[in-house]
Amino acid sequence: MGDSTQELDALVKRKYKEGFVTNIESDTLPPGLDEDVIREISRRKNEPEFMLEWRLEAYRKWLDMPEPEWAHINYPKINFQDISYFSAPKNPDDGPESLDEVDPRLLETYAKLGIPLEEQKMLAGVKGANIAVDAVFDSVSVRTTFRGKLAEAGVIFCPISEALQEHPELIKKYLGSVVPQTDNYYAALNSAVFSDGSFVYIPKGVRCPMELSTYFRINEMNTGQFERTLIIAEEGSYVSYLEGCTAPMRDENQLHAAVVELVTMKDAEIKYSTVQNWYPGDENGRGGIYNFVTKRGACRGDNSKISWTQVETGSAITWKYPSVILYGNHSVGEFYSVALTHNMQQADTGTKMVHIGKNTSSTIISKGISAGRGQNTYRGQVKILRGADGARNYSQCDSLLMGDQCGAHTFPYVEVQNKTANLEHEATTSKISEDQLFYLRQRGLSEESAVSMIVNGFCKEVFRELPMEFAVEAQKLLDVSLEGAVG
Amino acid sequence: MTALHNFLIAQKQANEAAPEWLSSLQQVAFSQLKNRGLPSAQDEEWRLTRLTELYKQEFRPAIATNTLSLQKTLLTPSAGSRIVFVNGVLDTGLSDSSFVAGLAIEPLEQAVISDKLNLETFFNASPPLEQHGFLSANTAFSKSGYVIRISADSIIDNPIEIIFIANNTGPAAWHCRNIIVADQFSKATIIERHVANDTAETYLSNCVTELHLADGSHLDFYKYQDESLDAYHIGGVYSKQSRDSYLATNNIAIGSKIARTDIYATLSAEGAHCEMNGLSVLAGDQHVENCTEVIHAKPNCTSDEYYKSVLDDQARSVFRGRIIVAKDAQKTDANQQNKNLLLSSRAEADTKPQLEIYADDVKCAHGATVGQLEEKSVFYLRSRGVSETMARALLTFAFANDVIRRFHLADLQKQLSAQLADRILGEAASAIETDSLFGEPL
Repeated sequence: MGDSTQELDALVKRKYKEGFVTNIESDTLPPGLDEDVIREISRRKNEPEFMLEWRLEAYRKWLDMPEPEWAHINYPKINFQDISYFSAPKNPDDGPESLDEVDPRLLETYAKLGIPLEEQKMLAGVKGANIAVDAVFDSVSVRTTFRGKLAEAGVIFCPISEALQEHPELIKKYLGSVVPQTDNYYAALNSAVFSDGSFVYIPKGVRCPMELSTYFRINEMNTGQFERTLIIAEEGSYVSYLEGCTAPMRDENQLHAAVVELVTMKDAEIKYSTVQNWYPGDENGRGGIYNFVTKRGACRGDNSKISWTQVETGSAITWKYPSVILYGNHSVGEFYSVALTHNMQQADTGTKMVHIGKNTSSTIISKGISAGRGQNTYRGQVKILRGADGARNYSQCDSLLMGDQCGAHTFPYVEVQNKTANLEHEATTSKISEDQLFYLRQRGLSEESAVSMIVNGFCKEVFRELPMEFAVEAQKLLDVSLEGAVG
Repeated sequence: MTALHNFLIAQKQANEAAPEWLSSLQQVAFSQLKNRGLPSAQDEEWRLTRLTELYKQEFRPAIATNTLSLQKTLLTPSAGSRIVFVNGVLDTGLSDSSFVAGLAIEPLEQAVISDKLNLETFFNASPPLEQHGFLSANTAFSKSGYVIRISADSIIDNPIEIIFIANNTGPAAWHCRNIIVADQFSKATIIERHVANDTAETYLSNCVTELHLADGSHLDFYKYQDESLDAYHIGGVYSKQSRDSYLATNNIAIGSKIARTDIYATLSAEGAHCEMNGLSVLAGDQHVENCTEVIHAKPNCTSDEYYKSVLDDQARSVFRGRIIVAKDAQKTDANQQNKNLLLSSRAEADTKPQLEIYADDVKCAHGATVGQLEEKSVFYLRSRGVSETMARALLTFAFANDVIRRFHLADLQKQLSAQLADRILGEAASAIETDSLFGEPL
């Protein structure tokens, strides 16, 4: 135990690898939030009138909403007037056409992350597949690649601010249709001040020719980042979307309140994968990102499918419940999650599956790993409404504890109103057993690699749902995060 | 302010006979009730049990008019001592507490005065007083109830039976507080029945029982709730266990319009074991919520929880089960299962099994299922020549009887199984050898 405690200490003291700041001049609004700030954001982005109205409506409702307190997390109260709500790198209008034109420091930033655009290109070159990157650097998209190829297929993949100029009718129709302005406190805030994000539209019958990917990065002191992502998959289409994030080291907490909306029509499928590695704060819980995210998908058509896969290793606080509303008959919702907390990290995450259509099915696989003084909570709801004949759900929530100061909690909510529904929920909590460790050690593996192997095995069901590049990154992330963490 | 809250506040009257410690405790509870009121749908812990109708009721203190006799079916065949409360008031005529060595039984109102049992240490020692308005009301207004103390090293062979009968005219409410103290290495079985006379009108029974288990004691506790279908039952069983003690709380709910029962167990010393069994068989528009919490406060304790419900018509069952493993409670082994069977498409089952774990060397598992009878099993029985109705009834019976088979008291097990068979199999039951269905106790 003595050895492993030391190793655990080493883990706890591990510095955040991706902690650095790139100095790029930016147009940042002074901290504070009122209607004028929202008007200014809207003006700078040259938005149509309806968008400004929509934002103001959300803002006015937000003012009357109470801050949610039900989550199993602790944090000092956020002063929303201390946050700057807009930050854009210089000259966002003449975005570079190729990598050569990109600010070299931006490229350097990506290189430090270990997932640079070059590597993306190279990886793509080897596989013969292309990954389009709509890189969000702070709040405004500065670079969009492979537009031509996507346009050929009829796919729209662009920053949401651009979509507002070019396809306002789509935005008007779908924005807020899955996550309404007043859905919750942070969604309302996001609706009022969101700066940018991605917009994806896959037309009828199109299988998106490549995996779409966005890298987010918070890079400006005290800037809350409020992305808004909207993905629409028309009848019979398919898209796989990747999202990954890291953030530089900060002492003050940064708020991240994103909203992601997915819509699938008949026979369509969206696969949404996330690797989240925001700055988690130091060993005393100082700094770190507050990640309060609303993600929801609506399976509007029959036989449609939405699948969420997430690997959450970062953030001081994660508050995130990717959900699926299954309207269409035979529609399918999936949620695969690995959430890791160490040091003083807190995660309250899970999903919500609402079965409305007949013969709908959902699968929930959640793996929580707690180390150090981390608190990891699974909170998930499965709701089967009266008309959802033949609905099926399988939920499995496993927790792995490392160290005697961490916590693992499970709060499932199951509400069934239909007798033909079939529903199972299982949860287990355990630590890495001495037997397993001993077995691997006597085969010549170091304690570290033994733990890494067991943890990777524990998460295998989720990792195999990730696209290849992400699976590699996720595995690497877990390895680094858990070096020597033996309870 | 709801009608019920107003009624409760108006109940306030000085309890002059009460000793100092009790009246000050009741004073605190009363002001809590007054300030916080009764739980509402906005309360996360009460979100799934709507009490709007109850709150509109105009209650008054109970008056008994009809004479009562104990029906044969109410009684446990092997029961020894018996205490009977009618409308929350002790009925000495129906009670039978002949002297049993090692067993002291007293009505609460006597026990607080005589204080032979040193009630001050036990009264309100385990329930979290501030938990909700009904608990505050119970503490503030509890004048009657029973107090049982099993003295050290005593083994009480015959079960002790407590019967609460409702026999009121006009809407009435009562609050009973019961305390059971099992001293070191003692052993007893206690059955608490909540039933109603056919003529009983709507009522609210708010009944809290506290169990205190000393080192090495063994208690088998049954709560059988078969209140009138117009009645509201709010109840709590709060236990605290010392070293190497054993507790089984068996919670059977078949009656009432709306019932909410909180079963809390605190394992406060090493080696304690707690078993929780629960069965709700509901039909019509019945609504039963069972809210359980097991707190593993110390290392090396074990708990095993098994709750099932069978729901027909528009019945609704809500299960909340929380297991909390405290920071130092290493080597905890906690298990929790909740299974729900929906017989009608209008029935609803909600389940919230929760684990809160702050220690790493533990084994905790929970599982929950909601579903209907398996078509394969029905087909199997049909292929053996059993009619469809009978096949479904048999499978339903087997599903429910599974919980009863976990009970330790054979006499009661048999009685409950027969009652269950009668209810689920109906007339068909007589056509088959029901005895063969029940099986041997596990």
